[in-house]
Amino acid sequence: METAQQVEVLFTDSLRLRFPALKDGRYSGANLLELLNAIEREHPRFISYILDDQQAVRKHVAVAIDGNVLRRSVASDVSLKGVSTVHIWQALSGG
Amino acid sequence: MTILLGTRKGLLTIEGQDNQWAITDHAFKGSPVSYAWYDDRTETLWAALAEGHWGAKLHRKRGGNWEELTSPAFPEGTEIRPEKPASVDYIWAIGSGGNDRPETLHIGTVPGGLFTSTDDGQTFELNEALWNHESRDKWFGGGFDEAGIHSIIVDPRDSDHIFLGISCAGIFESTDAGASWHPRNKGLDASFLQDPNAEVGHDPHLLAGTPADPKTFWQQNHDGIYVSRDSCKTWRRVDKSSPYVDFGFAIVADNRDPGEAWVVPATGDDCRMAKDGALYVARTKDSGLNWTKQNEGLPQSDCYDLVYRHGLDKHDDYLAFATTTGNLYVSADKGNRWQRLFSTLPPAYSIQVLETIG
Repeated sequence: METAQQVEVLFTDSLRLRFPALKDGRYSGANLLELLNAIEREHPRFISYILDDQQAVRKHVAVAIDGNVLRRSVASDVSLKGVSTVHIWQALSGG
Repeated sequence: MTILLGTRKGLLTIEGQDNQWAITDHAFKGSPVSYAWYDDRTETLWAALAEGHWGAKLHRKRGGNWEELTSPAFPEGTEIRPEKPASVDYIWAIGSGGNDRPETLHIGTVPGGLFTSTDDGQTFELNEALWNHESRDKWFGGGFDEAGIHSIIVDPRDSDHIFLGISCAGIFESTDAGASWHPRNKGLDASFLQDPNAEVGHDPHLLAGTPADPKTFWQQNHDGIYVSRDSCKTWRRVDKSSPYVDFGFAIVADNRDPGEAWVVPATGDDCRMAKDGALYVARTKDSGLNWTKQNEGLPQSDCYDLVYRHGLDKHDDYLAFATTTGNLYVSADKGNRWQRLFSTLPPAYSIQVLETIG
């Protein structure tokens, strides 16, 4: 069984517009779903901005684990063992 | 009068009369508002946001401030088809659950899910009977990758009696509060289907009811305009006698005369702009036997406007429509004379005309 660890999480400004109290910082989780749930506890509905109804990373959301960008991953499958930084931002698009 | 406008750049509230109109509020600046609706049963404003990156969101305003609610979501493991997980991409309609059930509302989504809340929007439940309907494999996208529900009408005499418009599937009816559903597409053309007589696969761009007669329904379909006088059991095509109407998205029926309705015609599949470059509304007063052009005050050349399916509304004698090219027009006399209120708005997705809010 994986144990939760502290991870530095960085957020895009677009998320901070929607969650004004959201700040970059350290959150705890053994996998990405646990980490997002930890953020959700402080910022209700946050998780629905990152994951779709089936708990996969949304199509136009980018999550980088120590610099490696995930694509359409199911959050509970993403282990954070040995990870130091998670960066969450959105696709850049115009219009 | 008050006009609620869901646009690509937020929710606009527009108030005024005669020549004095102003935008009095701009909520959700920069976010597409796919549908906005004032529910007079509970004096509540509802707004559905299509936050492209972040998903579909639901907000509510009762009294002073907007509040984000938990959006409807497909249960874990739900698939559109094998290997295609289901997730709400877009909220296309929000509708009343009936005047005797003020805490009930229905939401239609893309992909084609019907979600119902019986606790004032706090929680929503997917209608499994419709999601698992035997015809589901014949549904397909119309304007979106997947089929969607854009029209929700509850019979004012019986809140268990529900009608839906689904693109592309057709009109569906439930008489048992959503426990079972039946396609109601008899008489509709579907020139785009391999089998034009298919029961399911139709593209009703919008279904409109009228309090003047709960059995009368209108629809602007991909293939023409139809009226039903028997609660959607049979449909009669009513656009072929007139050169002014055929294709379009929006339709609204009169609240006093069930035989009176309005559409905003467009050039069809090949172009999707104002018909022949001239903006006009078409009105029938005789259940579709005849249609008249209403273009006084509307530009008659170089119009690239399109009015989306929720872009036309009516309240008593007031009619208003908003377009994809930023124009908002209003008429105080059932469409006889039109006045342009704004010409630089964002593309409009939904409009509601009200006496006042609250």
